[in-house]
Amino acid sequence: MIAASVHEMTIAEAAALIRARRLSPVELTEAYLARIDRLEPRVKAWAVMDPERALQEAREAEQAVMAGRVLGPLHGIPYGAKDIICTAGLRTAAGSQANGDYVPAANAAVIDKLKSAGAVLLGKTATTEYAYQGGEPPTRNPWDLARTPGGSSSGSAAAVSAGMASFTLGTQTFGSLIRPAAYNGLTCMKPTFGRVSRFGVFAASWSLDHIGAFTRTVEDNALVLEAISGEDSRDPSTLQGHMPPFTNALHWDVNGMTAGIPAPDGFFAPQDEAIAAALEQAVDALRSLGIRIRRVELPACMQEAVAAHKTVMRAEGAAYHMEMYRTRADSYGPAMREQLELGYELSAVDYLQAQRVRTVFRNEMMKLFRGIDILLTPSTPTLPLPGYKTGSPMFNGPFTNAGLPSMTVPIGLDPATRLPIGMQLAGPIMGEAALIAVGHRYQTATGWHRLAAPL
Amino acid sequence: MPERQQQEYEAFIALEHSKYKDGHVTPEERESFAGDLRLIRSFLLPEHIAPNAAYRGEMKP
Repeated sequence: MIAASVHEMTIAEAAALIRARRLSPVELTEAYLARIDRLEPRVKAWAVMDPERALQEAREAEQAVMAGRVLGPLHGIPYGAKDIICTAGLRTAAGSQANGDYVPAANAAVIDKLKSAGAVLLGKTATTEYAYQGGEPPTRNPWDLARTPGGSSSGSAAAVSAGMASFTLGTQTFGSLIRPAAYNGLTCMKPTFGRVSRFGVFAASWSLDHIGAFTRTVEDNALVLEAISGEDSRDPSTLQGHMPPFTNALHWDVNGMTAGIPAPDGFFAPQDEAIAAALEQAVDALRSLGIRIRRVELPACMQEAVAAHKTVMRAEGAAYHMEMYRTRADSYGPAMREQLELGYELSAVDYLQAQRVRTVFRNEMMKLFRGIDILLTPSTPTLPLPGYKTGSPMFNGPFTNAGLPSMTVPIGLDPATRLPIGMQLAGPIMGEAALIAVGHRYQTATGWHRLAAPL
Repeated sequence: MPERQQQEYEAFIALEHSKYKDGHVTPEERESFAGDLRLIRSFLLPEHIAPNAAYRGEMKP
């Protein structure tokens, strides 16, 4: 039997009902498809849907449940994947005319992993062109349809926020997971660089691309991360060895942990007063949970690190697209074309110097964590902006650049606009567990993550 | 998409395209690009610092 608010159900709640045979994967999938039918004309979160395929996968999941073969907590859970992640037999256009009607023959590694976990693919979500800044899709923010949902994972964030999927996959090369998640009142983790295989995903920038999931809760995020992480010889950057069971961190005692906060008027100074106020309240809530708060000094090379980040993106993007750009330059949108043109002007020495600056920056960022367990910042400098520009990724870039894990959790609403505000938690390399522990404890003590977009 | 929403989106796309009527790179982005290179080239790098590579293995804080 499905609750009236099925679209607000967490993965953990739905999984418990499926395991108990009180909720059918087919019913659940049909409920999401019906909601997509109703809301998609206004939200525009999806690039392509395949309801028949989704229902077939749901029927297979249901048969397995009835045969006593539940594959895990994602069994029968409907999800969406950003349209730069290849799906066998389902068009993957990457938000670009240059890619046209490309239909991959094989799944990306993450899609195969989710298939093995029994999850049900609903369709592909809208993205900016090749996950770059620019080439914005028509996707709207479910909290206010006149505003951006952020990007580049625009559709992935809007779909979960509008209750059109239980979770979605996105990618971050600058701020494309954490920013849209915060703008849409969601929880999202950008894991450590190499935690999740990018095999079968269009590259925006090889040394900066990360995959993560949009969910309603930290618990759900840990469930998805466990399912999608792991070594993959087809992506040489993946971390080797055994992956930790991230859900164990849901039971950690956070009392006595230490969180660092940078100077409120420095690099992470928000432009909206409401964001600063919400962060202050969230920090107070963490303090009341026994977490010690300490002021920390950021590396002196923040601006140089941003310059290196942008330079590496331009160079690696230009290299990745070189063959297609040579023959189909006019098929690219102007904002992406601008970045590719600049990439072709870069010298090998400039690229290598930028990568050396990143080494210095990563080492400096790691030193920050000598005296703290996690770092806290606002997730975004502003609330979601009116229009289609996807907003500033500046607060998320440092952790993408250094490959450190970061996560956003909802911490309030702007009193004037009722738009969501997020707090970013970051940790040292392979420090996801501490973020999960603190984020989950915060969500057991507060209710911001339970608020739904007023659609 | 509702008609008004569609018109707003098309107007936005047209405005974005109009920024590039004089070339593939806008003067603002050209300036930003040059500024990035100035910052990188003037940054003092110790000799032992190698380019950031795809990360492998464990690094303690």
